[in-house]
Amino acid sequence: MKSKGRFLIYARDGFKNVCNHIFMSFSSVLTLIITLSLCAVFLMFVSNTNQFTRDIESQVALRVEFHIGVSDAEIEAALAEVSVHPLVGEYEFRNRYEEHARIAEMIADGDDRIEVFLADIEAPLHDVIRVEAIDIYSLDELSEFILNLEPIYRVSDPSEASEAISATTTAIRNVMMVFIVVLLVLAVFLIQNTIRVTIYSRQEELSIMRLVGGSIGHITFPFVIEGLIIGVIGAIVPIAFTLVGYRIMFNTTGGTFAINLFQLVEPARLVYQVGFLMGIISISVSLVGSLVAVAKYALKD
Amino acid sequence: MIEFTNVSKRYPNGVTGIHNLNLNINKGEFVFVIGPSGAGKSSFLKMISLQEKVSAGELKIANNDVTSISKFKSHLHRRKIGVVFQDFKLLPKLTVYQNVAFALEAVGLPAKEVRKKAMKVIYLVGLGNKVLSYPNQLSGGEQQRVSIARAIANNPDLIIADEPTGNLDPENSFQILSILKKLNEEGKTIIMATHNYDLIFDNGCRVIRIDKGAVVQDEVMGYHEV
Repeated sequence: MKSKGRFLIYARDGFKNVCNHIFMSFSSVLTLIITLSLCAVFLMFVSNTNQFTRDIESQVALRVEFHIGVSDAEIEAALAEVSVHPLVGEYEFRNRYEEHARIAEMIADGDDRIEVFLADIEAPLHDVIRVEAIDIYSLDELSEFILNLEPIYRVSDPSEASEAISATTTAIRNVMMVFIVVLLVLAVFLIQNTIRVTIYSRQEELSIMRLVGGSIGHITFPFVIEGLIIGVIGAIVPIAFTLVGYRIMFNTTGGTFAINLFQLVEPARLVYQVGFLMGIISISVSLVGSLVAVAKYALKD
Repeated sequence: MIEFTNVSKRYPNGVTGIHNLNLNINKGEFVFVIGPSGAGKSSFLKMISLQEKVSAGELKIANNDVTSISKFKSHLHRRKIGVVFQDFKLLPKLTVYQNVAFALEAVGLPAKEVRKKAMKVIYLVGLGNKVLSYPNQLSGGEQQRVSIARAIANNPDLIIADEPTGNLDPENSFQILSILKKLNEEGKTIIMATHNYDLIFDNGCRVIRIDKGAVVQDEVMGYHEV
């Protein structure tokens, strides 16, 4: 009961501090909103690129073509060798008639990938094996092994393109991460400065509080609350932006990006996870800012 | 109650406030501290109220060594000391009640107790009819009485008054003094710095004269030279 009453006094003082320095508080809140909104974009980008990479990796497979006219026995022997290779994930044999039917189906469905596929195809059609490696980085070694098998005509290896996509998304991710960290540090400084200004403007009051026996904790706690209030207000817009914005983008794009190959992550769980994380980051940043300011006051002689 | 042993106070700018002071003040005493401006009276009082740190020597208050007390523990000692200032140091945006309650809230008392104690001391200094007034609606004497109410709200054993009548007319000055005298009769130790020698009564009060950071006169008979 006693601590509840005390907390209410701290909360009242913290709220008064925010109101008394409304412009400083507003600038801190604005910084948090911008930083956290960018953070949210970044996290949703990372989450989606992770999914893209997984999708690409799962779809990247070697297209192995047999020489025209090889016997069934030779095909059986080659398949047997492929099936026991440790780098092979899954494989699927398709004879030239099945391959023809598949291409016809892709054309009929208007599949985006058909243009890329047709550019690389030769007539007449060959019997093929579609071989998935256990991971994207094993494709080269596996490709070399299969190419050395007797009845194999050629192996098409798409790993270079997918590795380039992975490298690009990783680079963008790193640049964004540095950018976000810089913004977060800036937010900490701004909040710290806001609290320091409040402490400075209330110096006489604080010195009287100290003279009448107020402890450092009692004197400084309202400033921590002030930081928390800034953090909570600063988190509302980015959380709303995350919850609503991503859903709108998902619905507008129909859940895909650029081509059907890139499926966006379903908003259901992602927006709540990112929103929750925004709340945690906002409160942490504002707490660190206010604690730094309060510690400077407490340790000052 | 207060023991100064070879205490010195030097400021970072090289000024010496107090030099090698040896002095004892007993519980229940009413002590006047006099001396010219810049003599070291404020340094002396500020060391007792823990506003300034002792540079050398040893200072004990109520048998506790406070010479190098941590900033995080000093509030426990400050709660036993009430301070009254020449310029009152009231918060202009707070009412009389709020100014006094503020001191009680600062030590973490529950709201019910804050109300009870604040009203008690406000009536004690004769401001029961000014509870909701703001400092700028009060006379100098009334403001100083609020300051005294705030100083005694936590029922301290020791009251330090740094020229509390410096900004007041003679009539108000005597009123303030009579309140302090009454508190002294209740057993509180009072240390009061003043330039107003007319206030120093000759009924046995102790007078300490400080000059150039040293005690040059310490009379227990109430005698003083104007």
